[in-house]
Amino acid sequence: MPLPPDQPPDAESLVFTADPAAVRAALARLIAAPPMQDLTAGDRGKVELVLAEVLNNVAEHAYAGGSGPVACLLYTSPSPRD
Amino acid sequence: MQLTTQTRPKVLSVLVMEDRIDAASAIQFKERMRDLTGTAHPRVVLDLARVKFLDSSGLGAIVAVRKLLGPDRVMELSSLTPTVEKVFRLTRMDTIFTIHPSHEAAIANASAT
Repeated sequence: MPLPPDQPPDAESLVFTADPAAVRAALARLIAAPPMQDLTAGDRGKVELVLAEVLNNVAEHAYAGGSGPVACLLYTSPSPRD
Repeated sequence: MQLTTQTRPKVLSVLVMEDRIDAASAIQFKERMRDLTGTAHPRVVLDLARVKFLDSSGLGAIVAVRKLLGPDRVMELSSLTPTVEKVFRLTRMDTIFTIHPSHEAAIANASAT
């Protein structure tokens, strides 16, 4: 699955299967990735919760009971995106 | 899903020995809790000291267990870690559950009444 070509230097990209166990493993990797290291423990907790809610919804609904790939790109941005 | 129980005359304590209750483990947690709380204890204390992460699936499972206990039994929580405490506050579930700072405090309180 292709990811955008213009990735920031600290970007962490990950492709995994849309199921709860794979989401859990992906979260562990994403939370340990370079973009997360400058955040406080509290902010890392918030990011993990947001990612978990989004990715678990994808795992539950995106493939309508089936399974398929999920691509995730994580990086820090100096300002909120439009 | 590792859960440890302690029984006192009126209080059943369930200590969660896992570091997360999430979408991958919520159903198992709920089923194990249903089995473990099949006693007559009027109070159930769920200790979350070791739980570092709780998502909406995990929260839903805890609420479901509370409902399973029925209106005549109470379920209280203890030892919420900061991230877990935030989820309860954010969802206002901290107003639904009695939350004790430690398991010891929960036991002392639960035994008193």
